[in-house]
Amino acid sequence: MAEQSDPERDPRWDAVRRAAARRVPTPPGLVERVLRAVARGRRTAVEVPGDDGGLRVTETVVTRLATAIAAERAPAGVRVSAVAVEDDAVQVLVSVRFGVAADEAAEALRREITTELARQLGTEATVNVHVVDVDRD
Amino acid sequence: MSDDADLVAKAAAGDDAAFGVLVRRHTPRMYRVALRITGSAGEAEDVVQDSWLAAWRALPGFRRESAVSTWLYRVVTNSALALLRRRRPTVSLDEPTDRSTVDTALLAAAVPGPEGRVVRAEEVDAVLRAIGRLEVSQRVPLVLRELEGLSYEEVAEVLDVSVGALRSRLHRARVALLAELRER
Repeated sequence: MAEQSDPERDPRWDAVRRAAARRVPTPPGLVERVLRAVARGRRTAVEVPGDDGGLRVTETVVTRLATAIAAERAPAGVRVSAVAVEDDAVQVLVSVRFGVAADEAAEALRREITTELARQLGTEATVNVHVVDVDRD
Repeated sequence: MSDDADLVAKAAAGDDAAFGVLVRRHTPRMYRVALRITGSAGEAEDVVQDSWLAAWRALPGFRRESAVSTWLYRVVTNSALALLRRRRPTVSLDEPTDRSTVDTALLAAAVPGPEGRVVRAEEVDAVLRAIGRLEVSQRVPLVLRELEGLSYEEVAEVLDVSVGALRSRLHRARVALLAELRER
């Protein structure tokens, strides 16, 4: 078959060349988001001193750990919407289902994240849970 | 305008402004590659962020043996491939289910003016969708060579394969792409 020997001579290949020429706009703000993400990845969030040197854990790692723990341990009726390291603490934003005791649920989640982070990192981090919304269904 | 290699050296020494210039200069093409490989704008953004984090960590080890742009193509390609490996199998709701039996290539050539341009735009969409349906091992070299315009040597370096192996892989990819386009 002709295309087996030289696919680029097939008339359909012109469309491939036009596809190559199509402009792909960079999403607005992507460069700034990248720079912020890299800055977060560079900042040390937790330092654990040891006898023969110390352990430094970046904000990115602490955020990922906290996100995984929060998703896994969130009590029934609590939905985690965001996790970030700000003001030297892990900030967890959640919404609660209507009817759930928000203060008890938030405190239970805060304790779970604090305990598990301390177990995994070897040092305690401050964790704040903020109830920012109510789910009606 | 500063040379890329100089910017990398400065960034590795802690110059944030130099790193910022690199990010602004290369993010558009890295996003383009990530989008073509993953087929998803959201995932492409994640890939670009992961790539720059990886690039930043690797700055001190960068050697001038390869061009900075080739190195970054390699970083973003590897990040995109890692994302595809992590991705759970899903069925895209955006994927068109009906396949036109009209040969748009011939139609585009036959129809002049604005209508022809619309047909040609649809044709380009069809090509990009067809590339997205190819196996990853065929899609990636095709994106780098045909859409990004890298040389065989550069693509081989990005994918860490010999030029000979790349040429045969690309030939299979082109044949597969034409078969996809013919099926439309």
